[in-house]
Amino acid sequence: MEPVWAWIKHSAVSKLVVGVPWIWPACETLHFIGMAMLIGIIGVIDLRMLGFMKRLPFAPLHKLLPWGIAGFVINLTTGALFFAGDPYQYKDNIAFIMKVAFILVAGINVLIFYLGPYKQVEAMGPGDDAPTSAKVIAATSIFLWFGVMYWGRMLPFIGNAF
Amino acid sequence: MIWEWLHPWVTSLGSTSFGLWLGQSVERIAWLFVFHILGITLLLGTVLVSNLRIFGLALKREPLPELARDLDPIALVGLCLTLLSGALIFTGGAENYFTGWWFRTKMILLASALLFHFVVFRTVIRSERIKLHPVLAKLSGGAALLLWFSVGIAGRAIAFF
Repeated sequence: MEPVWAWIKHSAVSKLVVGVPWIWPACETLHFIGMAMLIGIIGVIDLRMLGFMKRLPFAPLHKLLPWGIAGFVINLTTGALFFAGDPYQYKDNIAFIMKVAFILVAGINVLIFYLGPYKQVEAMGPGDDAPTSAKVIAATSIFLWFGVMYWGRMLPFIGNAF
Repeated sequence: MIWEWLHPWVTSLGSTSFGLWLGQSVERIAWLFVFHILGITLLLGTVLVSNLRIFGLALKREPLPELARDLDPIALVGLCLTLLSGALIFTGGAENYFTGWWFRTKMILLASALLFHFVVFRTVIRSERIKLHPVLAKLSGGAALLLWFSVGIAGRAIAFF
């Protein structure tokens, strides 16, 4: 893998991210905004499945999802820029590896949701209870995204990255 | 200035055995950071959802006052989590935080955001008569979103500058 890291490190993007002093803080700011969008929206949807805000039907809440996905795209982009800026800071960092792993498992969890109870959940009207499988998926989702934030926040503490 | 007046209190807060104990362990502070951002996402998430509704981008068939009441407990839990963890993080490094420019900026923004949130934003979005004032809802929604995100961004800046 070493040639890959070296290639990233010597790329023009990498030089830009670490060379221009305002880019890193600007990306951190966007990363923060993306986090609030992604986890805020996903959290609201998950909480509805778990039985909070039961007065709301599920379908219109689910329509919020594109805003969460927009947050995810912002964070994937800015996250990739951090990585490009200094790949050596991240590549062997256990917090970084765990963060990526948690994101991947969260993705699998989303797949299970859409292949499984999604249709039933989408039909939920005011006051309706989600099926148990959806509740398990929602709880798993909250755990995984909390984990993503945990590992992200641990980057400077466990692996000395920032 | 208010900062000079507060300084002796902050110094003694930081040097209490509890403050010293908090600041001793990096791990303890790191966990508090995690709960701090968890609370932030809950609070900002609900303010964001309210704004999407106010600007007609989502949940159009849900009346705003009812939606606002549904989201309120989540926002309050998020806010309490953020304030409590923030207060503990501060206690663990009081002197350092207190003298920083970005920290002071954040506190001024936080005070403005809290005041605006509870006096204007929350009142407007929960009001049944809001249909009469869609512009008022948009203005207060936009301002609340801007203020809260500014607090977050100033917080991020504490670690950078």
